[in-house]
Amino acid sequence: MACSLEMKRLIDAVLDEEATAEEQQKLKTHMHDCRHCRQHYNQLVQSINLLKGLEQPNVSEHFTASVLSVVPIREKGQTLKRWFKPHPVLTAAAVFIILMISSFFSLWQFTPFQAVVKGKGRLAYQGNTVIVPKDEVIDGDLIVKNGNAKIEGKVKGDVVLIQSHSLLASAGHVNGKIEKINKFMEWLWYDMKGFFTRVFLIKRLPG
Amino acid sequence: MESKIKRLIKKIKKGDQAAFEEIVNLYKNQVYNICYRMVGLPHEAEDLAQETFLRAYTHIDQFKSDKTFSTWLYRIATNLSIDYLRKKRPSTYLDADIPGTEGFTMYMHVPSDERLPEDRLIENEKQKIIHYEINQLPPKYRSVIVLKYLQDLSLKEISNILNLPETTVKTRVHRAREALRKRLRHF
Ligand SMILES: [Zn+2]
Repeated sequence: MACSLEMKRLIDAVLDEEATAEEQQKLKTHMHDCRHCRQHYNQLVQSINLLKGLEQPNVSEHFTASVLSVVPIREKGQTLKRWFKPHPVLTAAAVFIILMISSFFSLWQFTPFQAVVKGKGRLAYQGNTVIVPKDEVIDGDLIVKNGNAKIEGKVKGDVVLIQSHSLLASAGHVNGKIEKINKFMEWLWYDMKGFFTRVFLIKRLPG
Repeated sequence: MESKIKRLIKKIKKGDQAAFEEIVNLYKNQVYNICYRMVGLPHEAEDLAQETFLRAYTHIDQFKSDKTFSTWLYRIATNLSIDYLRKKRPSTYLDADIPGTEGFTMYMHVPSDERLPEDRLIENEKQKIIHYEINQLPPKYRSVIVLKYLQDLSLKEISNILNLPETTVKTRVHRAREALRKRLRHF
């Protein structure tokens, strides 16, 4: 054993490589005269050297293969889950946008023929053709989807043709502009502008 | 090296098995050696090393990319080893042959019929005795010795791995060193 607590502390500091030059010198001088401390220090150094000289055996050859054989294969879905977990607000927003777009998309794809008047006015139908009758004045906009518009009367506002054609009779008249939308993204943008609010949606009349 | 590891971890998080294989190959020997010196037995150590990588893979999301990967991995390895010792104690290794008595079969790596030059044989015995003495230390001292002197890690790294203050780690290193000195002084 070291002969004093102070020397023990010095020995530890030297072995930890934290002793100052002065402390190192102090221990050295002391060990020159003190057999106990010299022996203690040398035994510690020897133990450390023995530890450092220990061989590091390699793991068996088949180790990697056997690890890989037990790890579960990750599913693609987990990647999304991993992203969603730490981003709850963004996730909610993303889910909302996806739902919204897909509902718009199904509306775009699967509502066949639709004619909407935003404002006041009476329409007549003939198959997939909506007719603004002669002498009728639509006090607002006419929106037609997946069909034809035959305007024999008058439309004071705009006519919006979503994948539709207009058959403007000579007598017909449109005060506003005729807007044609043939692509989903255009329609989506148009819809998002709030023009085509579903509150005003008038379903096609039977017949 | 660090940025390469970071890239591999990113890939593993995306489910890339090849990246995981690369990580296993990079760290398998270190992880195995930590487990081996902690539990003393090669087969158990290999099982624990395998378990370490399995856990790392399944919990990779819990690894924060601003941390050092090896620290995180070695923590899993030491924790698993300490858990193993807690459950197994004391039957397996305390009943093992003690150096100085007849056979060391337990720690024998070399087939007995293989002829070895004498100094190699002595070196072999020496290795076994040191290994044995490390295993006589209580696990909390064993872990600091393994990480500091066998894995050559800094006190700071060890304190991160063991989740202990650096001062505690340092005290344990001193005590473990002293305990080993007593056991190995007649070498
Ligand atoms: Zn002294």
